[in-house]
Amino acid sequence: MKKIILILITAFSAVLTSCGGKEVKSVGGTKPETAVAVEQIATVEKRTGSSGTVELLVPLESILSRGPLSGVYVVGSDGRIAVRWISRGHEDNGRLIVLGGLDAGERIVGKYTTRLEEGMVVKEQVSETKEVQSHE
Amino acid sequence: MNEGIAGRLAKQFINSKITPLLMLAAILVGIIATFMTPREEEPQIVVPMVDIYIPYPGAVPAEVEERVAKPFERTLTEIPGVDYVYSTSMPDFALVTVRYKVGEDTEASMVKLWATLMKNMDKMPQGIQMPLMKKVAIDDVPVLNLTFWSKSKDPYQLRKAALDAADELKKIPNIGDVEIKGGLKRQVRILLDKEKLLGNNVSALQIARQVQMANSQMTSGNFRQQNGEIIVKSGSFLESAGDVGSVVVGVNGAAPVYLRDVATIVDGPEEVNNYNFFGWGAASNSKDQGEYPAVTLTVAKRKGADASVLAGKVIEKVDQLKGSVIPAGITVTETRNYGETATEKVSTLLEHLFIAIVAVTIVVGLFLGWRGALVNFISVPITFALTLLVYYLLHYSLNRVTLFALIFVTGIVVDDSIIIAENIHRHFAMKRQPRLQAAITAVSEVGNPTILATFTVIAAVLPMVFVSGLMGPYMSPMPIGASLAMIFSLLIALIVTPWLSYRLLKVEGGGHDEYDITKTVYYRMFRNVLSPLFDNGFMRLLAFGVVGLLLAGAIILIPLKAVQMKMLPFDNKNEFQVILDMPEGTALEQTARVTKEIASYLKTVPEVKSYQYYAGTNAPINFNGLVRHYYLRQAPNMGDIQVNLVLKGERKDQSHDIAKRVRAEVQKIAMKYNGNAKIVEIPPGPPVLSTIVAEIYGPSQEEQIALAKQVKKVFQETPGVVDVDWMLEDDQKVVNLVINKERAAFRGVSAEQIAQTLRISLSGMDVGVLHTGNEKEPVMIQVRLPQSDRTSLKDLSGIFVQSQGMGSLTTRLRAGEMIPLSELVKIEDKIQDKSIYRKDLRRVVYVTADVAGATESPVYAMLEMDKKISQLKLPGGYTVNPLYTAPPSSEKKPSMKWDGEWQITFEVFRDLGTAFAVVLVIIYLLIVGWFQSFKTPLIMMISIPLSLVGIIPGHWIHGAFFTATSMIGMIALAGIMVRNSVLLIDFIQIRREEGVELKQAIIESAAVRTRPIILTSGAVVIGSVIMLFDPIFQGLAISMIWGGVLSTVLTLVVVPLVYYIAEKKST
Repeated sequence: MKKIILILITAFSAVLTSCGGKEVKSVGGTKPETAVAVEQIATVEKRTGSSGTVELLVPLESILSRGPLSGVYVVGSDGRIAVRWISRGHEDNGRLIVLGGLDAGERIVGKYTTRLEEGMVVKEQVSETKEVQSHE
Repeated sequence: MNEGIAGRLAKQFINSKITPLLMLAAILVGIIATFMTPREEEPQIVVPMVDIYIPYPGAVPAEVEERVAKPFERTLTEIPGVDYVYSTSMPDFALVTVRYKVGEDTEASMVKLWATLMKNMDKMPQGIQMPLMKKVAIDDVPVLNLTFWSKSKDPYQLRKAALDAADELKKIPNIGDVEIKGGLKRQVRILLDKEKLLGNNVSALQIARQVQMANSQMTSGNFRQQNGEIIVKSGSFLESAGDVGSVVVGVNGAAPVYLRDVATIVDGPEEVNNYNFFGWGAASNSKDQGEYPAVTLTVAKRKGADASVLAGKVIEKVDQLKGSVIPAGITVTETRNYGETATEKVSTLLEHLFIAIVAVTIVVGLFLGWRGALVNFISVPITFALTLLVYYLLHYSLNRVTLFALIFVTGIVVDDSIIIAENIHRHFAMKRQPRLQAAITAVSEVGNPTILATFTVIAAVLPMVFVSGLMGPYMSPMPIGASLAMIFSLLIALIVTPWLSYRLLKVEGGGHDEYDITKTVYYRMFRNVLSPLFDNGFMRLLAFGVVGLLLAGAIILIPLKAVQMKMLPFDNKNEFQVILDMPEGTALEQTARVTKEIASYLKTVPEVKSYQYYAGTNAPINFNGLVRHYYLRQAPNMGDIQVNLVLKGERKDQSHDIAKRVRAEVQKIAMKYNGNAKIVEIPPGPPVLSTIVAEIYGPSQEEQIALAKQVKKVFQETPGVVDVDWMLEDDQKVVNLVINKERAAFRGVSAEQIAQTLRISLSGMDVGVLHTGNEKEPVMIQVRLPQSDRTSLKDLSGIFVQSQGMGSLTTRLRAGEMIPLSELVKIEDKIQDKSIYRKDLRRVVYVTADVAGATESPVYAMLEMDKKISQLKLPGGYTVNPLYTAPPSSEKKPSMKWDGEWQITFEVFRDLGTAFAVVLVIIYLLIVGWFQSFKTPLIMMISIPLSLVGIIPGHWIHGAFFTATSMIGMIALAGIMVRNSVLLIDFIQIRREEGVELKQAIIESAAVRTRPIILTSGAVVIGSVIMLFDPIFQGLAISMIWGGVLSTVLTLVVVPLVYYIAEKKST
């Protein structure tokens, strides 16, 4: 009988002390991707408008529309593109005044095509002769 | 021997045919009750809370406060049952929140509130509009969120699909509020063309009025003719965009001007006012990196309904709707299902309950053999079956608190049966009497002390019912459930256990030698340990010294911060939220951009399954949001992200650890854009405004803000204090258009005309509804300038108002002349007035924060900051000593009070402390009544402080917080330990009455009672082990296990020793 109690107690305290520790899991790395060529990477332009207010301009061709939403593909520092939703102002000579969502100097995809998808890596097409590489 | 109640009951039932029938019936009703009782995760909390919105157009915050908020607050505090009154005075309106005491009847509170409001409406200033009252209840929190997202559809189409689905879902019984978050509504937009307006001599205001007038239809009456009646109707509603375009808004020369001549009419989505997106996270199997327009349909349940049943029905219905109401191309993803989590929680707890019962049975089996174990294994489920039945009858739901109460008592409810079965077993082994007689004698012998002991344990847990405040509903099912289970277990121990024991228990080996106590292991052990202590005074002192040292050593761990106090630790949930506040005046697209950037980071976190972000509208609220008014977060500068994690089983880290891990990066992104991001987790207990809240009072807003700034700085500098924020808007630039009254009067234009024209141009004006038959939501007709034409002050110059001429009574000029607005107003820049917050009739500025990392318990962070705050040098040379329990008595100088989780912690520990004191008194009274001695109870109660020797180091070993549940464990343990002493001393006295000498009696009874004491304590300990794995109830388990083990061992030595010293003198 005494033995049983002893075994119980030792087994029990082992169980007790074993619960409570924590470990930290590390974040996995990203895999390299092939870049998709786009015709042009434009820059968000800044100008001073007629009434002295600062206006931001993007090419009209760069706009992607999703029903009532308008956006552009912003190219990140790593070449990755992400949709940025913008608020539209007046159109002006093939360009659009952007009222909100962009900063001057940000790089955007100059011409929107439907094959672009969030998270793709893009690069500017250097010469016309090069074929557009299919992604994946 | 006197049979007592216990013996008589046992005699009555031990051979009765009714006993097995009763057992069967009890188990059956229990099973039925388990399925009938609604299941949910959180306990039902009734905290009537009412938001009252009082619009006062045009007033600045100070005026709103003085004219509306203050008088309302004063009258509302008069209502009995009101706990707190909060108010926020904002430009143009006041929000007053009334919080009733926990448990007040909701409907009665609403009626009282309404009556009080109406009584005082005559005192309100002219210009305020009808107050809007909204009741906020726990059942408003959606239990199911379905996110509609699509790769091809836009928010407008998504909303329409969600609306159609919502309409169908509403038909499901027991469903509560169904709401749609996000998406764009259908709207007929009249986009004014400034040039054309001027060219056609039509003003914006004129258009608004003309459309309103055109959109009317009326039954005029009827013609009576030839015994019949013909109904006459006139006018016609605007039924399409075409109708709206054909409204004649003016006459230019001789030609009518149609609306379509001067404006573009668009029937379609309203102007974008929110960005809601859905995306998959790293933990989903999807490689999809994109994010898709989304609309979330939220489903709340009706009070008392079963969340899991409702969720199941809704999902089933949605599956049916796919392809018809929900068009192909739209994916519906479950982004919250509290029904599922509730079921999961309940089944985990039921499983734990079962494991606890089995574990206890095994322990009993080791001591009493499998037959003894079987006796227990049958009696425990009967106890629980009856308790579950009472839960059902009392309208409790099966939630984590009610079920936890059962696990908590598993170890305790077996005790009565163990004691009885063990004694019957002993008597069978002694073979002094025939079996039937032996069983009854055995029950009589321990029956009465068992009854007393049961009542001491009930006395220990029951006072917890009186925990007040928000924690009350979390706590009260526990003592009630535990007490009920205890009473049932007692009845079963006296009725069922003898019946079972009589039939099942056998003594192995067949009667060899006569049972002799002096031959047992226990007797030898106690004789060896106790005898030297009885005989040697020095050894005795040494023993007491060692125990004293152990106790002191344990207690010192608390001031050393080796064991920290916290109210409740974080639970492991499957979600958390990020709340982003951009500076006031940030454009919606900018907020959306920052929100998206944070979301893009979050989706790379390995445990994140999916996320939805909501910019410009609030995410579906959770329990926290209810108290924090997150449902009002609908401004362009606010964004919410809902982060859904993979299920608990599939990840290593707890949700709190994940939240801690992502906080720094999330805040870094927000800071880059001057935003403030907070990680909001679902609170384990009652929700509060924030974990740490400093309420700053003072004579003026400036002084309050000055102090708040310093306090905020202290917060930011303290390690472990995170998510620092304050409830104070940033300076927002306001362009104030001041009307030049003289000039306006001269030109025949009224101030109202100017104000309305501006409103139409900028924020738009709803001029009516489109009368179409088949829309689920009303389609508004809105007049407004297009977005591209309202970007700067320059655009205002093109807006004209029409002179009213003679009609204005101020001028003799011709009416109808178009006057540019820029001629009538001048521009002033100013800073928007800040909102004024009040709590319980005092002006207050809140500084809020959370704790994570260096300190996890707000109390320690507060104490640390307390030192720094009291050292603050403030203008005027005064110092601030933060208050803890009550708001300052005077507001003459700035002062500060701690609130937030602290307030609840303080209330809970105060109430539990009081409960504990009451427990001690009741236990004392019970034992005095039983033993008819003032001294003996004190000896028995020595074991209560001894439990600390185990409890505190136990927390230290596990690295756990000493929480409210630890405290509950400690209180319950007091009852159990006293019961052990009662059984011990009761037997000593019986032996002494039989004429045994004192020392011999003590050693003998220690030996006899050790087995049941170790058995019952062992049952408590083993039954609690399973709770160690629950983050919230871990503290309780630690208290029960470590406290139980150590105080049992110490009780067996110390109590007999003290008893010996006390009795030695009297003999």
